[in-house]
Amino acid sequence: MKITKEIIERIEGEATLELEWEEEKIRFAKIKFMNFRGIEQILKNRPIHDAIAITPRVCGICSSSHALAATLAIEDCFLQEEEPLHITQKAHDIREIVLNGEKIQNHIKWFYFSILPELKKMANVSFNDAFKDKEWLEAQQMVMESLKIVAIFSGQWPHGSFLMSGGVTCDPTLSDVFNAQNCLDSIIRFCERSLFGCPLDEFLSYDSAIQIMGSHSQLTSAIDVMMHFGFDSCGRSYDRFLALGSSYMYDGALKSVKTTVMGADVKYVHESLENTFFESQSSGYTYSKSALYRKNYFEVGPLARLMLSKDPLIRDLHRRYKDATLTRVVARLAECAHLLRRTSFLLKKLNLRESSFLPPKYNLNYCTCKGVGVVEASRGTLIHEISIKNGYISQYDIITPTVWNLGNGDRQNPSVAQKAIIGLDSIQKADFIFKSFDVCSVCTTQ
Amino acid sequence: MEHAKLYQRLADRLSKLEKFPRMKEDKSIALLMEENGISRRDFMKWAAGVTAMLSLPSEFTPLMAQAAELTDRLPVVWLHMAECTGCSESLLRSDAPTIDTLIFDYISLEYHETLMVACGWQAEHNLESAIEKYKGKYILMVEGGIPAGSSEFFLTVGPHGQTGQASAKKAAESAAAIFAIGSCSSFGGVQAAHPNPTNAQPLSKITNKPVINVPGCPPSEKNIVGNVLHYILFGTLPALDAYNRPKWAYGIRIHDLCERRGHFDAGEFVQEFGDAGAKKGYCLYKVGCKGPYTFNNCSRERFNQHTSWPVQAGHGCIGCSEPDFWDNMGPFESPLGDRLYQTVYGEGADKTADKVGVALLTATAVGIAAHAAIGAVKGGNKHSEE
Repeated sequence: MKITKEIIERIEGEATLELEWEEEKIRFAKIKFMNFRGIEQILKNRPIHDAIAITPRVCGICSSSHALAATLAIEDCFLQEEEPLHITQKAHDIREIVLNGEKIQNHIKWFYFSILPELKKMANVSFNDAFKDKEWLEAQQMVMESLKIVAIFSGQWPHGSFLMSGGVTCDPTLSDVFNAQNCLDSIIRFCERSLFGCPLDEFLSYDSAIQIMGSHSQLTSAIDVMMHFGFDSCGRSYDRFLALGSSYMYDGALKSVKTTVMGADVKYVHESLENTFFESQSSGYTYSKSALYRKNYFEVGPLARLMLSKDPLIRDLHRRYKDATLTRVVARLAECAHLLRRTSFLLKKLNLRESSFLPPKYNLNYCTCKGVGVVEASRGTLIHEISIKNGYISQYDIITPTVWNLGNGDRQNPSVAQKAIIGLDSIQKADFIFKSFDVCSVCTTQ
Repeated sequence: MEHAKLYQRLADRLSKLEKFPRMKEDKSIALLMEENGISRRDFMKWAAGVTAMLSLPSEFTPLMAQAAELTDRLPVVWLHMAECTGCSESLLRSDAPTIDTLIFDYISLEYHETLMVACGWQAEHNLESAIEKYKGKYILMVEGGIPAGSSEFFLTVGPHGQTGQASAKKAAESAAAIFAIGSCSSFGGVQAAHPNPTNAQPLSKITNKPVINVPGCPPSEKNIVGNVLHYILFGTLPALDAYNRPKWAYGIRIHDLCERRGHFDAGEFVQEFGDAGAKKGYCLYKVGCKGPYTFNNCSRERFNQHTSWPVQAGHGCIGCSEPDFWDNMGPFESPLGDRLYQTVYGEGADKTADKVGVALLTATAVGIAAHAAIGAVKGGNKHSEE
């Protein structure tokens, strides 16, 4: 048996894959995240609302999701105290626009900066200059446009500050909304031209995998390369999906085993310290915890969300290829299309006459309670749990999407990504499958 | 007269730099701009903008353009430490029409973990060879705080499992100029906030060489790019303040050029989020804005290509470019003036007044609190008169 070690870069932060080989096949994979900052400890004994400023610093690429999860957790405390806050529709919409903008830029960035260069390298071994492509520059401009949408409402991105329990602090004008719409339109045009190769509405009406395979687009060529290298059959995992945060695409929190969708509840989530340095300094090997739902690993993220909302296109891909890498990659891009249309709709219906913020009438400074905030972030379900004692944070727990997908299980019960990697015959494939989950190490370890 | 002398000095410096070999023979900035449809006129406009940002007279614009074209002579090595990658994300949002992007991402970034094609062993090799090849010539930019001393194991990087501390030390040894990008590598940042579980330290504590701090959480993309151009132009350290921050960017307070400053002077304050004052865009001091104590150019340069900044989004400044702001500036929604005698950890600003600069800030805080109180009374009167 041999053991190899591979460093995964061009993700947020850095990860190490330690692979155990037997007869030229990967027998087991250890996923190591070797950085730790201790944000949860830092949050202890601070004023409640500081969580909204501190938690975004967990991750530079999904900072608004963290801020929103912290806000929702605090708002849940009001609910637990039976003094629920009223959040206006306008505030809800602005929060969703910001979250969507963040997801759109993430998906574009992931595809053009992380996935496409990898596929090009695979298709053409001598190719080593993916970043000097024109597309890269164009995609980068679109990332900036989508961040502008976010910044219009949140002040800046990353680490904007506009959220408070009770609503949002910004009061956008009509011209702000027009500017945002303008940015969004240019992203839609780019995606239609480069990514999907057809008008957005047409893409969203597709219900068969065949329809996305024949066009002149980056998506089609990515699918071609993936098929050529067998990614339509490898990278499969448990075929179990979970989305605990709310979305316009489905109702409530859901889970599914294969295609059977059922209700789910955040109370069954459990965080495991298995194989971490926190459990044992000597036998642990990573700073990343693992999240399980009723002691089972579930996949979270765009694929899970689209499977749970019974999206026809993704369901068709799933019927053909199960939860293979190909399905996972296409799902993230399909979600990008959904988000573009949804954000455009939200911007059009945004009611500027409403209040952005209704001040809470109740003061949390003298309570002792617990609140949970769940957000569907770019990479999946993000959970913040806050415990309050006399107006200060007594305990804070963050479960990020990556600890769902890239946890560290053992040989009998490997995590989602581990299971997807076991049995492969090349490091390059393992690396690509790893990247298809859109890894974020800074988030994972905090 | 003085300008003419400076101009001559900078021109001499640039003509010396021009003799350096290009990093990549086949790519020059001029060529790249042509390929990407950026006109000379756009480029000159951009150069004029950067010249103004660095507080140089407008006749220096051609020099700035020349400096930008020479960015392919000096490579930039960018290292990640314990951080959230937000500063890299900040760099990626840099100014339109993407000239910054061209300069940075195409030309000068020799090593950047998140943005390069190479990975694993090859990446490690690239880093080593960049350090060797450009010994004494490269610009080092470090993002993130650095777990130091007995807890340096909290961060290891690369296939050799080198600690972040060792990696930063080594890269700093033969760098021509060292920039700490973001509050984390400048002052320790969020991971260094009480109780600092990983003993995270700023870059300046890790190396003995002079470190220029570019704090902010994240810093403005313009400040990152501006620093590179400043170094190419001058070849020396910029004028720095007490915390080693370049004065051209951190010389004024957020408050000085704030768009809501007029309301502060008029005593018009937002009393709580969502009130009538908030809708009218009144001053955010009373809901916790730390703009009066924070030195940075956000109010002038804004973020995401001049789109907005936190105060414009109705939330006060949290003071993210000041040392230890996580511990000193919170709670972020109440004014600093309220907690002169009582803080989260029991020690008020009055107790820490012996620290550099804080005494001054305290005085300002008292002044501002008084002003705010007077303002509120005045404001109240106005209402009653109506």
